[in-house]
Amino acid sequence: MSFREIFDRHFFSNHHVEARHLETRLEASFQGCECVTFASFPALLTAALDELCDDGATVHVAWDASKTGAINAFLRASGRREVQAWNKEALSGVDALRQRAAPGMAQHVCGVLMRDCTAAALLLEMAGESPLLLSAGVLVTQDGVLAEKVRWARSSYGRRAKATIHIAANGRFSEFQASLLNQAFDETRQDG
Amino acid sequence: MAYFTTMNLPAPPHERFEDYRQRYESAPASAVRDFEAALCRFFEVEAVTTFSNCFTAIAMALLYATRTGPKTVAVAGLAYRRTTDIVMWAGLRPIYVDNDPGTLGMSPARLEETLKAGGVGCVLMQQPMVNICDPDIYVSLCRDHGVPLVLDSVEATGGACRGVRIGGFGVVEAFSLHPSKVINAAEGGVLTFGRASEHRCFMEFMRDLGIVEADLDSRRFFGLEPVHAMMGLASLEAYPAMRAKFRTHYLKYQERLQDAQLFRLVEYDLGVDPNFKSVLVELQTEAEGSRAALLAYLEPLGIGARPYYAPLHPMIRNEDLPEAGRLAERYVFLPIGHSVTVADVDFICDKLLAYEASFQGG
Repeated sequence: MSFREIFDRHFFSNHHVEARHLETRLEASFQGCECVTFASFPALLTAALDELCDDGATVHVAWDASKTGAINAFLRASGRREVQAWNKEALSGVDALRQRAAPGMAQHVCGVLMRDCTAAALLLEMAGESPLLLSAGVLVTQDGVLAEKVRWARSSYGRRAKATIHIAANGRFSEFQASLLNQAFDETRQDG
Repeated sequence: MAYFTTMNLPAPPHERFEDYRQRYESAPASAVRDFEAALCRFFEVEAVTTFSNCFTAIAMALLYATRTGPKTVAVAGLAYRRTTDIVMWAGLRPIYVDNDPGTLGMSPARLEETLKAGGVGCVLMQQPMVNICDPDIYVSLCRDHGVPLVLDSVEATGGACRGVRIGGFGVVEAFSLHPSKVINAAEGGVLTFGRASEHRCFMEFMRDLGIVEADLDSRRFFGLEPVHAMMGLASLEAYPAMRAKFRTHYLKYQERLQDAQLFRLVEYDLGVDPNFKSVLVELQTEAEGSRAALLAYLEPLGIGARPYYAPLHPMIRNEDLPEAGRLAERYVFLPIGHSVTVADVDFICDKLLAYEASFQGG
């Protein structure tokens, strides 16, 4: 369903159809990875870190320094472990994941989460210069367990949780938001 | 078959959104400043700050409100289901307070007992659907015990209490800008401050934490993106027309269900300038499973009614909250907004009254 049609219909379902459509298209761009959309990028990052740090592991991030400062400020204030800045040993893992990005998608790769020097997930930020893009995020990972936990932390979309979730965040996409990003995705592919 | 839903999308005309996109194409960031100025006017407050979502906004407000006190938050047992998650997301601990059966909000009497017991870092009072709880009651209680008050007032958006617009009560009020809310920014959240001095303290606190930069204007990481602000600006314009439509639907429900025995429509207080967004009925029976049976009857008819704030969060189920437990089984949220026409409301009421007749007939 197009963005315009969502506007005109004036109501949306809570059944994740549009968001799943977006995830499927992103998964085709990052072959071998699962993609989990999240309505808010900072909330996605915190949810992923909650799972990755669960057993006390140190998580490294590779991205621009301003983000590290802001997220660590929140992690500190809310009693969580802070993320560590980039380390050299993780480089090969980052490259392996980054190389999976289809043309046109690399511009949205804004960071990489590393756990024990293994690339755990790419982070896509659907924000930027284009006024069409949202403050949403996407987790791209080969770790199916991580993907599933972050899905449940986002929203059950009305289903009963199968896994124990430490803390859930309200990260559900509405059809409205997903259709806007589907439109942005089309434009990104054309640009790429 | 048509399907009538509670998932209303209070969207402005697509053309208005496109107008704003074109207007801000060369300077998208100014859309956020303009949206915040428009929100100040709408809520009649001195300052606001927008965030990427309301979950984050409330978490920040709770961190601020508990900065010098215990790391605990008093919340109602029956409330928005994510409330417990928000409190824990902020690294704080919830203290549950039972509900008031009249307003469905946090019981002032139970809150007073909790405050007297001590150990409360702040109070998070959520306005329930339909009713507007008098904020001054909670302001007064919290002031007497020296505990900050944060209000989650999204359900009361646009309302007023004794002529004072909802948005300026307590330390700070929070409003979701999710597409299902009255102000639809396609996601986002806003904190509103009755006093600019409180807003300055909040922003300095955020700066001291490191969440915003020293110039207090670089909060993009947790802040609202321009496209959401553009959508929010168009949505604010559309509010009067949307409210009028919601009011028409509510009045039709009121007319049709006025003599119902099984259903009690939760009525809006017209003196508080309500938004009429939600339509809530209370089932007038204690019979176990009666709500589930009603929902199962309505669903195949294309009537997507939903339970009100149920089931309770797992952390609440073992708490001694008799009213929250009872109220969580009795209320039904009916299809609303743009998903229905007045004729559809007639159809829904026909089915509700037919169900009532069969229920009474055994």
